[in-house]
Amino acid sequence: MWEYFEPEEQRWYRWKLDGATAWLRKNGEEWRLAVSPVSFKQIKPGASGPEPAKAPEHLPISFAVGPGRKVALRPRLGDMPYLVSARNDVRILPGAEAWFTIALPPLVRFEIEGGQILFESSPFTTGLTWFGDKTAGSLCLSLPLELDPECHNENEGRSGDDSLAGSSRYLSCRSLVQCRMVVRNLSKEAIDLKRMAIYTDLINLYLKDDMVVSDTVVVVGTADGSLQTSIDDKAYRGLPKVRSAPHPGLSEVLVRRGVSFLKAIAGL
Amino acid sequence: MDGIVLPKSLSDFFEQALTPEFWNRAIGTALAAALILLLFRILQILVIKALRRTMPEPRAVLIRKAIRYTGYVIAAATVLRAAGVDLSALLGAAGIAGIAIGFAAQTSVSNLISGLFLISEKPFQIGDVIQTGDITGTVMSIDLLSIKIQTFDNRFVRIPNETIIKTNVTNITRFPIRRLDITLNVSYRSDLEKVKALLEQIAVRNPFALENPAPLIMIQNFGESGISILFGVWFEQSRLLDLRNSMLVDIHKRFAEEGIEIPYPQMDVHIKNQNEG
Repeated sequence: MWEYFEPEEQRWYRWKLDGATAWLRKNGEEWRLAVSPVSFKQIKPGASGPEPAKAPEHLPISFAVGPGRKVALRPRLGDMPYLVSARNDVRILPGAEAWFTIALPPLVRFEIEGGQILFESSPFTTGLTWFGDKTAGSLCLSLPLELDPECHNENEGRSGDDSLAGSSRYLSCRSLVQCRMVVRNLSKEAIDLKRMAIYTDLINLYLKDDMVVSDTVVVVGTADGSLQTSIDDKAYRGLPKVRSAPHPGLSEVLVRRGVSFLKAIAGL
Repeated sequence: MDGIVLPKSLSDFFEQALTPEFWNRAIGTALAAALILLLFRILQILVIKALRRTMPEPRAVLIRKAIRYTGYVIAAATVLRAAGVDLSALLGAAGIAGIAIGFAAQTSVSNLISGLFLISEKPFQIGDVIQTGDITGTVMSIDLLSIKIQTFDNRFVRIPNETIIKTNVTNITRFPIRRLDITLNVSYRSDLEKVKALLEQIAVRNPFALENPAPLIMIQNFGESGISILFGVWFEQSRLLDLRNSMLVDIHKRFAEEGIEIPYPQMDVHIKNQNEG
């Protein structure tokens, strides 16, 4: 679904993206492209493509011009952070850690060989929310997900659990990015998880059995009461990447991660 | 007498100009002036590079100009001293001239000092949207005498710094998010719980309204023609027009669909028939 393929000339192709749809048509160097978005809350599992299809109706068509033989639909994470506004409360006691799997709605882009972008669009519409105080903070995409923690050997035999039904709808969508998160509580107070911001700028995306998976996001609640976020890229190392995160220099990391990172490396 | 002095001075000058000592001194002075200008140029570049990331643009421009003009003044003073000009007399004359000019340019000096206060206080930056009096627009430049604003209907407005210092200035884009307050009136027959739920639903469905901070819904008072409700929706500051337009359309549409009446001011008039009395 996310691999390069060679389209026939003057023929429309369609990708079904769990409720959203993307179209493409090649005519020499002229490319016609369209995306029909769906609300993230109305997502329905069912992804396939590319497959020959009729031309999209009542949709604005975008044009791009450029030489290319093969083309691919590629996912990437949005520039805005994703905020998980969890619908169920999770409490992590001091010294404990919990694992979560959440699904992030990606942007999609049509790329010709060499990685040149013909068109980019957001197939999943999400609400906006604010993370931080009113004088500073980040504008985020709001994900109304359930947070189902997985602990050591305690996630077995839960396949029939009704509480998983809500999140499994998202977790079985092949056009979403499956992201693992671990929250470690190293502080002396219990952490109540209600909202978690995921900054995506350093996350790699990989292909695993036609699913898009990402690096693991590690959130650590420290003794001083702050939360530190980092990315662990060990889990899927070796799998084909569909999006490589930039390797930042130290100064860039300092700017991006701010004082909390400085505190972390200085051991304050 | 003038007729005697000038030819004498000129002849002295030409006589001196033919000596090697004059040329040595002239070249030395020129080199010293050039060196001073070069040093101040380097100082200017170093200071600006060091302060570029931490200092706002207007203040950096001010410091750059101050360094440059200080260099010019010192270079000019060096040249004049080498030429044998008595600078103490010149400075005395400049002081008297300064007082005279100061009286004549009170307004400009006031604006200049106000400009320094504006640059140090930083109530707004270039690119901010500000409102002062009945003028609202984007700040194009903050100069020593005035600020320049581009209004939304594309007019250029120059406001003297003294005016800005004296009046209230609202910086509309200072914070990244803002709240749009919409005051609604609903009729006394309306179910207030239903109205509240409907407004919450409208905010959730609007793509420009932020989920967090949550919308504010406050029943304000019982007015003459209906119950007044404050509906405050948070949004990212650049989406004001999108939010306002879509929100008012949504409220009008959903209220009509749900049969919630938005009353207009009305008055019951009772006509008393005199014959009845």
